[in-house]
Amino acid sequence: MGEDPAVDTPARRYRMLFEAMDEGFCIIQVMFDPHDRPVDYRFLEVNAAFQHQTGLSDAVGRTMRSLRPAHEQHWFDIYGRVARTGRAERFEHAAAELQAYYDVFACPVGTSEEATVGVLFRNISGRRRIEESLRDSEERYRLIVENARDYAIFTTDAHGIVNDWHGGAERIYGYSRDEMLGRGFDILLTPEDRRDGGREAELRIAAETGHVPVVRWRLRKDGGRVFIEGAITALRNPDGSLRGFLKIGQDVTARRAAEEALRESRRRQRALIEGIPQLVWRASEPAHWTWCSPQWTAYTGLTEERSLGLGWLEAVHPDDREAARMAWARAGDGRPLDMETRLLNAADGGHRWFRTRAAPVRDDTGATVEWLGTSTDVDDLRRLQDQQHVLVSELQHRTRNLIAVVQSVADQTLRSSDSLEAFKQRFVQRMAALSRIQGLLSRSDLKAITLGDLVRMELDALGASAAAERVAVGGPEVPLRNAIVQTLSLAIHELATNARKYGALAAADGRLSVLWRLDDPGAQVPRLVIDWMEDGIRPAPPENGRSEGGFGRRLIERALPYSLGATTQYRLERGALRCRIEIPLHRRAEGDD
Amino acid sequence: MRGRRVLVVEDDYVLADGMEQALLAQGAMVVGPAATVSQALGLIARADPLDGAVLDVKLLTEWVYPVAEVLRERGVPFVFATGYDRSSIDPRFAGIPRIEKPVDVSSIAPLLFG
Repeated sequence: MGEDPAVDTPARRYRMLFEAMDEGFCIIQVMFDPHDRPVDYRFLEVNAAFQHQTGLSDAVGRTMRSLRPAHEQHWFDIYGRVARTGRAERFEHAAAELQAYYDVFACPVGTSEEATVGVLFRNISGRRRIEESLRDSEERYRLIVENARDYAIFTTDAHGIVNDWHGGAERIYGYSRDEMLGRGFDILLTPEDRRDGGREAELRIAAETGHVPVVRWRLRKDGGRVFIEGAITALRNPDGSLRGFLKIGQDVTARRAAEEALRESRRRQRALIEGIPQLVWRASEPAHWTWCSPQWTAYTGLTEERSLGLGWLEAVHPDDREAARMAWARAGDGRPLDMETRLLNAADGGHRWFRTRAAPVRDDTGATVEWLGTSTDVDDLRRLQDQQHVLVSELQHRTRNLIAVVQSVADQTLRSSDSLEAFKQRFVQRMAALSRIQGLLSRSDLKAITLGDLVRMELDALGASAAAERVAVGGPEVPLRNAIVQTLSLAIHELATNARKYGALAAADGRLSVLWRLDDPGAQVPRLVIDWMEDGIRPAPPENGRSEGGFGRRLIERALPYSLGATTQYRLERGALRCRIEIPLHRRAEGDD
Repeated sequence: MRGRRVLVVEDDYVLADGMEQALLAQGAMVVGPAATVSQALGLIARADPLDGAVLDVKLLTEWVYPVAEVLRERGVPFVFATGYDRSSIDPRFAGIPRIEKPVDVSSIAPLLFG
């Protein structure tokens, strides 16, 4: 530009400004083809920053096409327009061959014919990159937020008023974006949380700590409840002041319900296993325990730790351990286990019988996964079965014995009867007496038979109550062993029958008294003394049951001493009968029948 | 059976008496009857050698087995007369013949004397 550098002119000052500034500057002359289309431009002047901004050196005097042949046509079009119209333009555009993005101000600097244009520009590639990446990032976040259908994501201002509300929130809470914007988020709180000041508490903690987890029930628009697992995060302005809150929550109602159902199922199973009287256990492989119920420990005193593996065998009676091993060996190939063994009871140190059963638990392929077993106390059952066996055996014994007695009574009645009619009468009476005794005996396990029972029963059977004023019966309640009941009551039957036929009850003014007492009741073998006394007896015909060899007297004078070790006296003289029977009463413990 | 000395142990008089009468009718000589173990042992000790015995298993307050032991020691043949079935009898005497009550006395002789 050929001016004297020592002279300060406006042109010099502008020149210095252009040289000093960071922006690139050049003056170009646009070149047109014969159809007046811009096809190239020549650099007339460039400033110092030009080379840095474009990467082009020694550009002055040269054309753009010669420097960068593929430079985009729009650059030429814009500069041509500026040159022809005389109007400045501002634009941003990429220049691929310069690998840069430019912010450009182009203005005409001469006449339309000169077609010279001043270009002020700045490489803004760096700023563009940041802006683009920012746009990308925002786009990504937007996509994430809008597609996170399972999460309720929304923001509020510092007072809890909703100012952003995304799709997932609408799905989970049921409120649309329009319904929620501008409303307080506390309509999502349950009545309990609202009453307890839950909203204020949540926001205060979030504001103080920046983040508060939220795991609780929330209210839907339709009144239903959703269980939310999430958090509230405080949002802050650049200056640190509270701007609002971001709330992200996941609807875990279904998961929670499933978990609760599982917990409930486990609780029920546990209550069942620990509530049943059986001892329950599990084994991973035959006989190798992996778990046992509290009942096992309570009964055997063996802790779970000591019982695992083969430890449980310690509680099995030593005589039953081999049987237990054998039972497991048989069950090993998938057949159920079934055995009865005695188990030690820690409480009293005794053993009780248990029936142990176990079945293999199989997976979907049918393979045995483990064994689940129970041991049931069958000790009472076994004892009852034993008792039943004894009872059946006893019943058989008694029945056969009774038939033998019937046979014998028939024989002896026959011997002392002079006619079939007499036999029939006495035999039927004796059978009736035997039958009454059996009735008493069958109930004797409920209430021991007493002497009073026998005496009253036989007198009643004779209708002696009609003569009650002439009969005196009395004595202490003396329980009798079943073994002596039958013989004794047969003897009393004979005495009573004879009194009715020939003795005190046959005479109009006869009197009968049956009195008994216990002599020496504290002794090892107390004696029961029975006095059967009849007065006012008419003279009797000689051949009757009271004669020496009669069945009744034989029972009293021979059977009672023989069978019961009794001492008896039988005196009949001057219209009076005195019969005394003394029976030693052996203690029941010696072995009752 | 005729002339044989047979001990009867039976605690029920009616049955003992019936057994005695029946044995006597067959010509046997009855020793006893005894109602208790001690009576029976007393008779065994005192009496002339026995040819056989009929024992009720369960007496009033005791089992008859002590009598059975003494008889076995002495080589005296005996039978049990009982209402109990075989499984209720002491296994030490499992081989002893058992006749059921009511006793058919004619069945005793073949068991005792072949």
